[in-house]
Amino acid sequence: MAESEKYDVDAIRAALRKREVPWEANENALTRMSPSQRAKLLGVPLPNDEEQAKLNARGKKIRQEAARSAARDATALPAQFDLNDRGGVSYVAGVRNQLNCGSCVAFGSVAVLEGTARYTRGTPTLDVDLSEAHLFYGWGSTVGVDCDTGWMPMPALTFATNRGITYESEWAYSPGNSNGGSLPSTWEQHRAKATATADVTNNIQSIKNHLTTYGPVTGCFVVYTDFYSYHSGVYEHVSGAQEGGHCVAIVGYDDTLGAWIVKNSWGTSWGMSGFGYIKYGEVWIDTWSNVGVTGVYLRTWTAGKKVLGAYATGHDRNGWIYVQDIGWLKVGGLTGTAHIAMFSDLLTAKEKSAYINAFSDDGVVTQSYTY
Amino acid sequence: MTIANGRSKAHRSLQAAAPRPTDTMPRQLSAEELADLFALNVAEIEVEAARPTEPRMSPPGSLSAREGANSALSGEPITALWADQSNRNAWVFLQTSGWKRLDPLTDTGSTVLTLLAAHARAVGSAPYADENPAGTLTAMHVW
Repeated sequence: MAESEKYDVDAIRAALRKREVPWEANENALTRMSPSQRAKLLGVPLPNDEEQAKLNARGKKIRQEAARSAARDATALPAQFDLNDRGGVSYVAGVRNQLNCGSCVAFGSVAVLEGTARYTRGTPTLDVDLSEAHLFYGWGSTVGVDCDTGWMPMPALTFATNRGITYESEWAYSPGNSNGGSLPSTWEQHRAKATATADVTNNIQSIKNHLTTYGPVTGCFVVYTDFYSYHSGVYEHVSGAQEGGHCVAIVGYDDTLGAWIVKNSWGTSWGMSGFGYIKYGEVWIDTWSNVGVTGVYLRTWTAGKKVLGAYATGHDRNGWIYVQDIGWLKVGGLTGTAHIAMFSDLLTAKEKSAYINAFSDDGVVTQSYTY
Repeated sequence: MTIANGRSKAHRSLQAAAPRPTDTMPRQLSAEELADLFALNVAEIEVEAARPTEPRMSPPGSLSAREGANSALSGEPITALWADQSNRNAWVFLQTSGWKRLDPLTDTGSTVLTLLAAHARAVGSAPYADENPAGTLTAMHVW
């Protein structure tokens, strides 16, 4: 598309009507950009023709299988699963905006980490706003990644597993790191670290198993021109050329619609408040790069929270507390006396419904204030 | 260790536990025999074998609760407490089920269970507890 050419939403709508395809197009912040501004948002380098042919073949196979299993066989998985709506509660709330930088892999990866941290703890309101800036401008830059090169999810989530990433409050995101942010030297006292990565690419059952067991996975795909104007319904490519590669987080699925539920990083004016449906087997969403993690350690102060519950067994130093919005934390203690002192203090907080501020070192309390 | 006939109780147990040339398979030692052999407490031997369990319950009534309480005992407030001067000998009275001993597996375990039970008594919260076949409470959630 020429730089001066206007994005034609009407033409896309006409194409959709002609093909009777069930999604709606709309103007949004992206359709109002210039072509080069839109191109900047695509942060995954497209593979070569041979690889594309392979991905297309995989996608075709998935679409054929999805069409055949209209009558669902009895598996243990539900027909619908949405981390954004589990009985009215969301584990993946907070749509972000990467703005004009090809940092989508960082946003998709962080969405995976945050959603997994919340879902594996059963705590949808867990405060876990992690730093896309650290992942992209920090770790990414050590391997030559920047706003124009793009990246891939596996190396990004491998950094998150082996090294960890800090919280947004330590290094806030801005496109091109224009705010001049940097990594504080004390970041390792305030950080998340994944337990292990899981590659479930090109396996629908494995993707669904991972979603229902651990949390979101990434989904990279080829963006065609019509994708920018997606507003609602189940997206499949209808019109336009290949624009580039992009990465989102898959946060659920719906077998009756035959689609994945995705969380994008283009703000809330795109799609359904930033979320969307992409049809199974379309645009390589489930065949190119689907990576998740199996858990997320958190090293951080709890900040002012209440103790809602407690647990103990006869085993040595096995006292635990359930902290509001955070979940279960084991009470630490280098000695039995220390364990008992912290446990006793925290139990008093529970009794008085008082606030605590405890330091959780990957789920173990090593210091606590009780007010 | 008690001394009798110039030999310690431990020594006599050692004799009983020692392998014999006529054995046809390795001798299965009980926790007591192991404890005597290595001059340890039974509890210390058992601590190695039993992996500590972790809490699995979500707060009752929470939307995100994925696993209900599979506790053997629930809904019974603690109406009395008992302890004496011997080590790890703390008990609670559950309203319907009566006196139950708190797991004496370790010093810290017994202490932390005692603190938790006392807390439950103080705030009037009925615990969710697991008990072993001997009727000892081995784990407790208090909300």
